[in-house]
Amino acid sequence: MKLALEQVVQGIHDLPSLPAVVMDLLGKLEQDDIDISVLAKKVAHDPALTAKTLRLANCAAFGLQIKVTTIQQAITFLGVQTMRNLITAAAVTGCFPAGRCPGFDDKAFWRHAGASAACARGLARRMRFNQDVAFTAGLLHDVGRLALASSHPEAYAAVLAWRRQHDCSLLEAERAVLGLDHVDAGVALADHWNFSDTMRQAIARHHAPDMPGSGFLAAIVHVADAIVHALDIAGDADEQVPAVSAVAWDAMGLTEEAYLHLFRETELQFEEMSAILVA
Amino acid sequence: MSAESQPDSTSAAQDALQARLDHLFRHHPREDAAGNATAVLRRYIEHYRRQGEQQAGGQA
Repeated sequence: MKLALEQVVQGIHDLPSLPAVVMDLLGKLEQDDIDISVLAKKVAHDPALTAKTLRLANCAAFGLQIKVTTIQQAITFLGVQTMRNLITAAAVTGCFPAGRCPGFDDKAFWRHAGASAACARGLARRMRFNQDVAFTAGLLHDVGRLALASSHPEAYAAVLAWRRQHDCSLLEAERAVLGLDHVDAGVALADHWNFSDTMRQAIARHHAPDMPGSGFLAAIVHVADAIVHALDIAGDADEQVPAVSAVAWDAMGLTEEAYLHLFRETELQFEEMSAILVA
Repeated sequence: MSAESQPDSTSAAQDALQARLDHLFRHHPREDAAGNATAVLRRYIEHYRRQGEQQAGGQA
């Protein structure tokens, strides 16, 4: 049941497209020259996107003292950087049809993604790195899994069965059954959706942050991913923690006390966020 | 819950926690050797869970 990369790319092209405003934002994730009023107007044209973005903005994790009810208001209180990441998160999570792949637990996927986003954001705050970019990278690091499960559900069901049978990592199972993995699919999706280079690199290297040129964001996502697996958040009985790169871990330079706070913060924040993402 | 039954339930909870951690980290050596970041993560998670149990026990 091997898949060629061209088949994966074709499958990705067949997925529902993202709203134009989100495609635009994805390519400019690290840029600051975005016209707020234009952004607010564009998002407001999509009621479903607006509603989900506002629910995310009102999450306790973002610490607003009042409830925001318009995109413009949310931008005023949270800033452009945070809002464009929340808009992206809201749009991407609505893009994949759920329940197509037997054995693929969409809710577990989004629980892991939401927790990774919260954890990556917490790590970034402690490292004085861009928290919003880390949040989106944490949310999207495994998006290749979702792309494969949505576009090639039967093949991906075989991957999941192979993994159960051999008790191996998902990467090993994907490579054995499909001849490629969710990182390949994630990179193809990042190209299709015009992700920024930093985001593309974080997706490409989140399992290999030691490789030259991987960047700090890949290290943050790698550590956040391992923490979330170790916190056992997805609710998967067969959960397993991936090997943690010593280079990435040391790059965080955090004390045990800081990690224990981060674990608590991640557990407190992910539940509400994941419920919104999966809705 | 009676006072006598508490140590047993605490011990059962600790055993269950240990078993789950063993399962989660089943592909990695337990040794906390220098440079073994996975073992360090396991140790921190273990401390975190024990801390949570103690706090829950203190509130009961």
